[in-house]
Amino acid sequence: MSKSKICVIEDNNPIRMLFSTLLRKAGYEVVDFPNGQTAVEWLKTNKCFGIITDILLPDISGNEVLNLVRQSPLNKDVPAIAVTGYSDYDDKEKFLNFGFKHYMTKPVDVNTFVTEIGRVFNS
Amino acid sequence: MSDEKQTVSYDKILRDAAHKGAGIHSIKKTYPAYLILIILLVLSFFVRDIVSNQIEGELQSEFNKSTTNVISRIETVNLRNLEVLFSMSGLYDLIIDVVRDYFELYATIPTRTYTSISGISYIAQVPKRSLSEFVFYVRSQGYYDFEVQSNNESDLYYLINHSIPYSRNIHRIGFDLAPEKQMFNAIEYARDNNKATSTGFYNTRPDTLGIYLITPIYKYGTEREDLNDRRNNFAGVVAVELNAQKFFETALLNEFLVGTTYTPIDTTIAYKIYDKDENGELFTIYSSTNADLIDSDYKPMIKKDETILIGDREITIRFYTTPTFGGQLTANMPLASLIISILISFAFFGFVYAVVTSRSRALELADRMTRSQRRIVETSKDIIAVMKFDRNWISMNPAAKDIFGVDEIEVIGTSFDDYVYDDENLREFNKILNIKADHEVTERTYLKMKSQTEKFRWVNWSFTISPKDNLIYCIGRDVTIEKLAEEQTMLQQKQLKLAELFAREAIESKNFFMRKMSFQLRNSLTGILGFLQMVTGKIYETEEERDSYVKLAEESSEEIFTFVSDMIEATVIQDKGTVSFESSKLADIYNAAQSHYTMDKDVNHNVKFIIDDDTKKVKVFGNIETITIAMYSAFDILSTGIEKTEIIIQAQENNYERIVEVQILGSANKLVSEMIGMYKLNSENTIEALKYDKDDILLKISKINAYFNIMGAKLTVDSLGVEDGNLITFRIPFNKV
Repeated sequence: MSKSKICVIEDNNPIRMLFSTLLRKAGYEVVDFPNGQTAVEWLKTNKCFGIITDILLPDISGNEVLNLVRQSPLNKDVPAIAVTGYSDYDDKEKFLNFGFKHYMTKPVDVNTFVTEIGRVFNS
Repeated sequence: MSDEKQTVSYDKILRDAAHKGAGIHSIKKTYPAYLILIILLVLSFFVRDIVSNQIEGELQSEFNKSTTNVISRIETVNLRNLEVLFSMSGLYDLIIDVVRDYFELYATIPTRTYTSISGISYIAQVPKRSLSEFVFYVRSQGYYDFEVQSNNESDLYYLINHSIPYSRNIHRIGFDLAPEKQMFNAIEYARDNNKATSTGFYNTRPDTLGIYLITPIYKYGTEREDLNDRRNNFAGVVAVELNAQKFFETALLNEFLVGTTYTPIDTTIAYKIYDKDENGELFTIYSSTNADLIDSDYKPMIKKDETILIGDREITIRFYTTPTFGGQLTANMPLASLIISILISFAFFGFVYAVVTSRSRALELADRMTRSQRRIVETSKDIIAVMKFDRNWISMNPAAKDIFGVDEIEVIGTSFDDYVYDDENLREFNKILNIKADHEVTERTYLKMKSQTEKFRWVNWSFTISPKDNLIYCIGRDVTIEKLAEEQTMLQQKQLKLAELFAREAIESKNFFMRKMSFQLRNSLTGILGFLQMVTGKIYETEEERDSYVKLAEESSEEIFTFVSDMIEATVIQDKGTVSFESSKLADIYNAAQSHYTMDKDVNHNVKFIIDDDTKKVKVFGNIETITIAMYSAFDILSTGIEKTEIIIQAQENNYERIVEVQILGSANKLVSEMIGMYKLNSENTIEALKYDKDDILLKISKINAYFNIMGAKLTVDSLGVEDGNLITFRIPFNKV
């Protein structure tokens, strides 16, 4: 069951609910957080299948979240996807270099969102 | 000092110098040369006397040699004649009866050999009573024509018996010499004393001056011890008759082998030989060929009388030096030495005179140079001055009037500090004076100086610090115009730089807004589009679920409305076109800024930083590099112009305003306080306000403000009062987009 548990970190409430709803309907178990720090604390003790995180969070950035999660033995290899409103090519490269497995720009296509998530997490 | 203040024209200096040049030859300066000349002239006469004495001595020696030579020659001939006499006398001692042949045999050779001998005769003493016997006896020896030639009326005859050479004296055989007083006396003297003697010089023959050398002859074998014996046994005398002229010529002249011409042996002296007559008067018996000088007015260099014996006759020789004696050069040597000494004296005088006057000329030249240099100093537009290490002026040129606006005499004795414009420039000067060196060093700097006529003057100083002299030599050039032009240029550059920054700020702000708007729209549209797609795609199971999707899409739409209504609000950092969203502890930013500041700050700055642990833990989110630079600049600004500063950093989160507020408090700083006031007063036109800027404080504040504007932060600067310190506050927003 833990294989399909996905952690969603997004401070924007509608977006966080959108991502959670789509993933749940696709059969994933979703645990969502409105900020980075609480997500990091949860991830220290819970293993998940993948992480979807916004970059600009109110407390710590998505980069820091990933950095802290990588320090935890439990989720040190868990795949993570960055979702952000910025869409510059340089930004994408930067996020991939930082350790994200995939980078998605807002707004997302509801019809392909789950499929793309599944492709990335299962690859 | 009053002398220095005189206005002296350059022409006057030259005239004075020329006048001083005439004084070079004054006796006051050249008296050593004259003194030396006098001494040398006196020495010249001494030299002449020494040379004269030396030459005189040498000449005297030479003269003595010449006279000795004459005397020696005469004595030689005299001895030779005496030998002849004694030889003939000895004949009578050996033979009982010296007959004519014997006499001729012995006497012929000397008379032939020595031309000065006119004859060698045997003169017999013949009493009148024995005259006939004597005549008989003589005739028996072959003198057949012998006749007594005498008018002698006394009882005693001295008749010439033999006389050789016979040919020249035949007429004298039988001649009675008794009437000839000198001969008579000489014969009797010889007889009575049994001693050879001589007559004086007299005319032994008519017109012929001569002298007889005679020796007594006693009867063979008879006693001659006492006078009676000598008189009773006396037989006659042997007489050698000398021709005076020939005698002396033979002795004193060199006879050529050919002919009979005689040449004097020595022409450097003249002499006359005298005998005394019966009255004791001298009369000349021989003169050298150049003896005419003796009777003239000629005054010989040396003269002397010598006496010698001819036989036992004492005769006198008077010697004179001739004009050629010693040579002309020798004669003139004292005079020549005097002239040479005088010439040397004058030459040395000239040398000393030249040395003395050249020294005076050198001093004169140095004096001229000194005057010229002084003229340069007096007319220079640059300050040329000297101060002691206590900073008090001890010398100043008139340029002080142009630069400080006060007469140089008023400057002397005052402190350098009195003329420095402000504390900042005084600190700059102090840095130079703080240089410790054991040798002379020269430092240059620009200082703003006070002026009575202007607000200030910029002076380019050259300070030569001489520990050896314990003085500071100062040259200062008024560079106010150049410095103001330079400041104006720098101001324009700073204004241009700030204008560029502001322009960039505007562009960056616009770019940032566009990016932020794009980001915000994308964020909100994600919700709208996502939920609308779920509705249109019928991805819902109940009506309630569908309505909730619509409700969430509406919520996102309201978010867009809110954003559009407040689109001016800036939130996150955008630096140089590159998005850099970072969160960092203030401790890290502080450490970086403090580290850079410590490296860059002036060594004389003593800055104490105070930051508490809570402040260090505060997190800020933004462009870390920009915040670090801002903090560094804040440290720099607050410590500008003072040597000791305390900087307190405090930070706290303001959740109500959603910002992190960082406060940086510096110690009291008059300059910074003044500049903060200036910044606030000109906040609407910071570029124009840069002309009032000091130490770039306004520029630095403006730069931080511009950077903060770009990243949406705020900068405020406040002076808590000149005595209470200055505060710089950063207001950095939370990361809330």
